[in-house]
Amino acid sequence: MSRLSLQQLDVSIAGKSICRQLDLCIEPGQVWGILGRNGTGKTTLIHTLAGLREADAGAISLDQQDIAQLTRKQVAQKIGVLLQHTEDPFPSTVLETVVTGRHPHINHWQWESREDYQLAQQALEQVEMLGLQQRQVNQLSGGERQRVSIATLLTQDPAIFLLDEPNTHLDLNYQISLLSYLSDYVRQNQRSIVMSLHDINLAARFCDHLLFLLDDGKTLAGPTAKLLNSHDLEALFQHPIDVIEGPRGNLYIPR
Amino acid sequence: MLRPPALLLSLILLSIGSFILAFSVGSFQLSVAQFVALLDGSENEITRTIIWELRAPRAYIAFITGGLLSLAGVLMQVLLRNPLADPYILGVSGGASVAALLLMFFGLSGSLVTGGAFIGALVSILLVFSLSHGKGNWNPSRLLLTGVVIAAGWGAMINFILSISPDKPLRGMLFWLMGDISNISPGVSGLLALLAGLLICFALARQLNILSRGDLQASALGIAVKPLRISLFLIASALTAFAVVQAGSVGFVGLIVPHMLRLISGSDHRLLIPASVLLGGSLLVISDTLARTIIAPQQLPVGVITAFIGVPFFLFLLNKNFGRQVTS
Repeated sequence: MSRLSLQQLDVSIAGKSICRQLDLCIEPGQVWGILGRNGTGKTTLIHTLAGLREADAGAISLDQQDIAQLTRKQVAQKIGVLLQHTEDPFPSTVLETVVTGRHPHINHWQWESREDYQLAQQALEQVEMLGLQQRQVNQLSGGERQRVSIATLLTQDPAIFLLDEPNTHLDLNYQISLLSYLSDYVRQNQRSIVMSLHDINLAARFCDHLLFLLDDGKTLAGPTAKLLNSHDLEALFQHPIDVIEGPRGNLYIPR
Repeated sequence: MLRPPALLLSLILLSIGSFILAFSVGSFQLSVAQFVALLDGSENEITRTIIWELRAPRAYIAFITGGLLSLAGVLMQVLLRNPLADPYILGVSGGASVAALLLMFFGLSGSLVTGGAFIGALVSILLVFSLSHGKGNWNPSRLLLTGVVIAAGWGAMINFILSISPDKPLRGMLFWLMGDISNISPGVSGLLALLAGLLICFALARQLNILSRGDLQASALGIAVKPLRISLFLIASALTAFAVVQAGSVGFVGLIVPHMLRLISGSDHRLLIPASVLLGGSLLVISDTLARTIIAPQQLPVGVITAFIGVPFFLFLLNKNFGRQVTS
């Protein structure tokens, strides 16, 4: 159980402000969605939350400890990141790739144990890739590679999951099944998710809290039900959006 | 795909075999009986001199050079995240060569050239390091570009020195540039560098596995990326410097050996690192044996032989593919 809190956070990239004096607390059991137009800084913010880059001002605390004061290994034991891009320059199998998720939990001189490989195989089963565990990662399709990345994250088993566009390359059925699994998992186990999404309907379905990244570093944060109204959505996407009552809650359709 | 113990065992056997070959083959051929007699000390004086004072030191230098270059190649490939990187790509050998050629130009030889080459390599390492080590931004492409440009600069200086050199030292210079281990006195510095490098790299092996998946992913998995990258750069450069001062620029070993092993047995550096040292060492011992026998009494620079062996063998492996796909 870990709590990630942002105090007076300023983040910018190349002179462009992403958020200013942002105060936010990600509690265990919560699923947060970050919505914003292209280039508003969703990825940069996720990298900052993971401690992969420095904030301009303010602090990010992981269980009351400033993330900048922790070692990378201490952070990686609690925060896991699903990156948007993967690099596979050298031959490596799916199983070898997924077991790298155990790295922060293994002592320097230790090798991966049988249990580590079992965790990796369980994760592969979860993303329905167990049959491909001996395949080379650079022979996979985009969607399969994305599922391998998700399995790596599940193997890392962090308290806080930061997901940068988890649906990239995924087929419809995997988008729903993997997001359902992840959001149920964090709610039942007092973990949390912060994910960037493009699809308002997925955000409505899976997130209990949302963070809107508007232009010029302005942000809106709050419970999903409060933020998902046509007025705020139109301000966010600069495009009119209709809210329609659907069979399972509201549907959001661009006009 | 070979299992790790089988692979290491066959590479150890290959290494022993390469030494037996190097001891036995040459203008004076050694029979099996003579070889056994050599080991128990009952062989005659002349044979003992030929083997222990001529062939053994050469094989020893060749093995260490091959090991150093292959290890440096493994590190450079991870550092630059590029399977095409070799130990010379960042200009270490260029700096060493310019210094060595300058000293040869002024008629110096022996340990002065060796010492000068080492200083030249260090100068080049520091130059590339300080130029590419900008404000927090130390990524593979910036390092690669800086190194490649510095290497090109050294290349121009090498050509300049060669073109103004008188004929007399020119042949020695060319052999030095092509990689040659015919007139070196064996020392322990190379061996110590290799052993130290092997130990440090083996200790870093799991981190290398993670780093080869990208800086961001490595950082996300708990690796302090910048210190690791700086250490890799310095270790790889130092190993290359030791190899270059021993044997000049022996091409292909550092590029092909690590890649060949990645094709055969995957990219776990805990296996790749010791396997590369053994295979690189053996390859250079065998190449050097061929270099001094193939058109004897004429000797060839060993770098020519490594290319002749390495290129077709590598292409064969690449096409056979071992059921694995390569990206480059």
